[in-house]
Amino acid sequence: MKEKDNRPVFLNPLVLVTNLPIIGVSSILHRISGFAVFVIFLSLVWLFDRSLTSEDEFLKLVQDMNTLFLLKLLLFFISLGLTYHVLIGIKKLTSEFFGVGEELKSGNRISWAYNILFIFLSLFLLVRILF
Amino acid sequence: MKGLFGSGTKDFLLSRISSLVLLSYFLLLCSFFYLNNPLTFSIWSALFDNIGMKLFTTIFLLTFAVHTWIGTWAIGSDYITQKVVGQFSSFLYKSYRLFCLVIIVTVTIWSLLIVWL
Repeated sequence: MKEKDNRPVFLNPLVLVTNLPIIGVSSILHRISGFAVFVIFLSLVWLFDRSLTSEDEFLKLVQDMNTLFLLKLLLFFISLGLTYHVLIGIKKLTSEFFGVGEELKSGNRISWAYNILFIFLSLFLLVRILF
Repeated sequence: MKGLFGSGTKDFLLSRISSLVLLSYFLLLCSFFYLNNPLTFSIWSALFDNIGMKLFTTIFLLTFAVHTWIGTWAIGSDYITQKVVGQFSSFLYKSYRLFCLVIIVTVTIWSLLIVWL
């Protein structure tokens, strides 16, 4: 099992991020959003459990979603994280399997497109969930 | 390298194939919420009474387990190393993997109980 690990190690992530093209920034955010959704995923299971327990519990949950600001905030951040992870995930899949945006120039353009799409979607989510 | 599921190539492919399953489940739920707005309890519980949806949810959960086990490995093995976090890296890494495992097992078993009981 003990084999030499040759992967590069960057000791100062901040310097790296500021010099990184949008492709790399998206890649790191893809990791962060994925991990964040993973860590809070249990709260979704909890909501799922409540939603299917009984009609009364379902209605209470709907009421909570309309009134509890913290719950709204939680749902907003989970949907933001999921949306980002899914969007950049699609970008990575099309890049790996179909060679879409593999050069620096085309990759940058496509990354910008996905990130701008994400900003529009997050505005939509902001209006739908928080207001 | 042996990888998590046999070889690095298998890990790579498994995480990509699982992402397609997770994506289709995600899109299914999104379109369901969009088409059934406002959502009522009868529509929502009917969806999960459907045997096809129970099976798809089960596949989703197993796929979720594989996808997150590989994803959290990729992150942990990149950053929780001796060069980055120092002499307790091995202990920290093992605790981190245990933490991930607990989340994965809890999510999977809890959801399976909700769907099938």
